[in-house]
Amino acid sequence: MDQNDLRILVTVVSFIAFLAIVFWAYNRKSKPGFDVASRIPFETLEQAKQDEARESSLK
Amino acid sequence: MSVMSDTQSVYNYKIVRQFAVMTVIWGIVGMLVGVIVAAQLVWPELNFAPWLTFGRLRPLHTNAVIFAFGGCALFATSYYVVQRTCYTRIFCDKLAAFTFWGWQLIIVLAAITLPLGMTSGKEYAELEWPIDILIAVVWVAYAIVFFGTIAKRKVGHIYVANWFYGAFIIAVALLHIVNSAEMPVSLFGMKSYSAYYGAQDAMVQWWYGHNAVGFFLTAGFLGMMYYFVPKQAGRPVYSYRLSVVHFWALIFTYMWAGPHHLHYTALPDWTQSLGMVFSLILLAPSWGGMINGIMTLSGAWHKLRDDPILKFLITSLSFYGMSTFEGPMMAIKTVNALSHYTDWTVGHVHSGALGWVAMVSIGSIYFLIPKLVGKQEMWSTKLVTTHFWIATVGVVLYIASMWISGVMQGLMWRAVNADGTLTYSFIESVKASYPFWAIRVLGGLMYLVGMLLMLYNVVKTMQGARAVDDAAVPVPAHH
Repeated sequence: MDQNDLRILVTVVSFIAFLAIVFWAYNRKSKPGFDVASRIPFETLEQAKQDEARESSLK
Repeated sequence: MSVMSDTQSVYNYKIVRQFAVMTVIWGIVGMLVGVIVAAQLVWPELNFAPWLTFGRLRPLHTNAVIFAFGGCALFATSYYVVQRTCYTRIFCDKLAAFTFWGWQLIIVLAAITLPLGMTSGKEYAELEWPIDILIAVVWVAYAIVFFGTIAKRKVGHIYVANWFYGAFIIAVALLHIVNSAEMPVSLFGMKSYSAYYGAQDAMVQWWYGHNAVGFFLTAGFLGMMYYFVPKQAGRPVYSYRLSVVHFWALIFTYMWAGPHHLHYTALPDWTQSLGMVFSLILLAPSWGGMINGIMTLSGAWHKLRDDPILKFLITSLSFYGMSTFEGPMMAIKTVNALSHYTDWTVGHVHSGALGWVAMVSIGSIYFLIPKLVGKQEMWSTKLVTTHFWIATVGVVLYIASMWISGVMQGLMWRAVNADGTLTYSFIESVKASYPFWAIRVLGGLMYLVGMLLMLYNVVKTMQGARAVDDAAVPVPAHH
């Protein structure tokens, strides 16, 4: 395998890895985990509850 | 040992406060030098002494605004965000303090050596070898503090802002160390030569240069965006899954865009085309991120009306969107044939630097200062609004004048007569640029005045206030 084969391999593997990340991110199973993660900056339980209440009232 | 456990249950705000205040101060210094060099182009008489000439002050300006102002803003916000989103005190207070004093020393050394004419001549990497070594040491310490804090986090998930800050820290270490490979002429002299030469040296330099834009001036500030926009809007980011794709798309593409700085040079043609294509691809993740930030305000648009901090943050995202549209367009070879080496490039850089990087930093620092000194808000919210409008008009004047003069220069330089001779001499294009350079001085001056208002407001907010060093680390809500 010469240097160029290695370069091609790395490029293709990177592209497949990126596609895998996109599929993982938009998989329905990932949603609950992301919802929790998106609330990390909102510190206390009380504040998280307030945010949820305010959002459901807006819907 | 009880003292030990006490300091572990509160956040380290001191380090954040130090960097936040220095952000404002270095912002004023860097932008003042910017206004001086802009004025020197209009009034060349202002080149008083050798160490005050345009050629020496220009790298001082770029280093001061990028690494002193931008750098301090990144240190301040990353140390705050990583503590708050990991629900833990910063890892190793002493090493964090070392990064503060080390970084300030580097800035002072830059402010002395650059006017003295000590330079390695590499754009955005002008500092000579002893300072390069110091930067590498401080940066490794920064990485240890940041990732050490991540390692002792109390929540399972690493919040997206930390991914961006982390990528920024790792990438800048890599870029700095590779591009600064150089051979000193003597052990005690401030002169070195690059380890690379010819087209390779140019490629390494612009691999560094463009990724300094991509990782120092973009990824780090996107980390800021993903924390401070949701916080100030009072709601989680619009789409967390989009933020994940945004992150990885930037990581996989940015590294390849550098060759667009070397179109129509000795760089192999395929490399130029590769750089152009990857620059075009970059439009997608950039706009994905911009939309994610702006849409966070969806359903709460009214907050923009009377919250100047939110105005700064959201306007910064608009400028981010504008410059990341303009950038890929300018990377197209045929467009670049017109825009390269003209003021258009300078306008593009400042739409990103003043509009995006500085505005998102200013908004974040206005968010931080009151919290760090135990106040509800800044001394004067009205003054923050005034700052916002002066800064916005200043940026618009700056970039509009550079667009016009840039396109004009490009058209004048390529104009040819029927017999094939050039229609204009170079000096004619210089003469035609004067009015636009004067407008630029005005725009830059307005931006500087805004920063002075900020300093006054920060001083008034901090006067007689209590330095908050006892902010308790809360127990994470549901993790």
